[in-house]
Amino acid sequence: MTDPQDVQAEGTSQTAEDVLAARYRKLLRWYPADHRDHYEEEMIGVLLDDAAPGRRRPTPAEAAVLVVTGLRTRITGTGTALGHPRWREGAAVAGVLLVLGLAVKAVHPVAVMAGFALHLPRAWGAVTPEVSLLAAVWAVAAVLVLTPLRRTAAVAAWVAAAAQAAVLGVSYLEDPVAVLDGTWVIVASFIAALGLTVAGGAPRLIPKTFAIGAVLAVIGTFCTYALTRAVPGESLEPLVRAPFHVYLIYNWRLDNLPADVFLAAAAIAVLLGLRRLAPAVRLRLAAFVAPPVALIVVVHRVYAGFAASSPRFDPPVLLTAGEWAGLVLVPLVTFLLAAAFVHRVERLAELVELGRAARRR
Amino acid sequence: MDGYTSNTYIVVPMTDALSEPAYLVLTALAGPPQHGYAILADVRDLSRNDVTLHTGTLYAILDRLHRGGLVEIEREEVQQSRLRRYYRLTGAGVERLAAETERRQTQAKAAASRLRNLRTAGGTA
Repeated sequence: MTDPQDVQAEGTSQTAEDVLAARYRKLLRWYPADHRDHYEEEMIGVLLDDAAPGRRRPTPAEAAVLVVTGLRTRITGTGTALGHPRWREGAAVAGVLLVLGLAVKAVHPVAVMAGFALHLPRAWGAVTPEVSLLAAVWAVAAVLVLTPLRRTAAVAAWVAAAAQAAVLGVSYLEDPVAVLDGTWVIVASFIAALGLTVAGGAPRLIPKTFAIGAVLAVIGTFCTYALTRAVPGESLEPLVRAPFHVYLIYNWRLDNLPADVFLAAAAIAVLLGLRRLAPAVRLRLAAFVAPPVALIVVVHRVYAGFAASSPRFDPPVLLTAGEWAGLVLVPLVTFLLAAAFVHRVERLAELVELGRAARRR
Repeated sequence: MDGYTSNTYIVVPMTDALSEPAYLVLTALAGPPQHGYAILADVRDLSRNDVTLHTGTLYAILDRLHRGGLVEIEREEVQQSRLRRYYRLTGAGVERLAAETERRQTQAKAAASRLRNLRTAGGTA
């Protein structure tokens, strides 16, 4: 059977090379668009250089290799991009920053109680054993991420993430809303552990100010309650939801300027640290932090009805399979979208740079 | 063991061993910058015709090495209306090639030593 391209070539001034180039171009459609943008013309040049003179068709082996590698690039395209060393650097920084942040969060109730204990004659509340356990495991992970013991730090982060999920998970049947509110913490915990694991030996330029910020935040929390001139009242209200048994006393005076200074200094330290990161790493850090942030937004917006109605029933209404699927999909989809966004931003920057270089020549 | 002494913690954060074609492509570029077709020919020569890369395979490797920061484009030319990009090793590429070469040499030495022992044992048995 005669190929339409051959018939067309006979009626025009197309050479055999033009026909072959057109056929290669057709085969290269198996590759994703961004790959074609970058390599198509160059690959066609090499394919034509490699072809015997007068040949009009790709060999079956060439066609097979182009189809297979094209498909593989399509399937693993994101994987390849995610395998870029910059992603490992981003994962390393995200792992450290998230572990430090989660450690501050876990130590928070302990710091609150320690602050209260300074000026209250007797315990008005107690930190439950599971809260103490979480504070301990996250504190250990936080110390380890600042040392060269990378694998040990990754293991400690996995242990802390598992403990976080377990502590939250056991209360699911009694308080599903607490679990729902805590899903972002679990997602952040696993991203931290995963980040430290995939980072492997990637270069880590972790600004020291991150660690300084974490320490200042804990001191600030402690000072908030230690320096508060509490005036005991008659009413108590929970300061933090169960299972954190910490209570806020009415009539307290918020004249704790030193505590605010510590917290402001902590925020500045973290911001200074972020400024020191390379823009590419900062972009990726944002992509790693985006999933738990998206989950907080979705839980507060989309799951607000569930959170309001579930506790009204006894036993409380539990999440449906669809709602669970949503909680799993939101962080996954957010990360993929963020990764695609990072890829696009950098591709655009590359094209702009190529255009500038061409203009200079 | 944790720490920076392990081979895992090299400057170039690619911990997986290089495939033979990728190693040959890096070797081909350990000299003057080369364009795609010249790399294909060089890989064939370097491997004494054991490895013949197809264009699709070559560009999958080049893309990976480029994204990994091991090779970079030195210049672009249009010759006979065909785009030619000349690739060269980056500093990280040189280090990676050196590390991989050392790894392969160590393995080859170990294999040669075992073979010598095996032959000696076979000869005395």
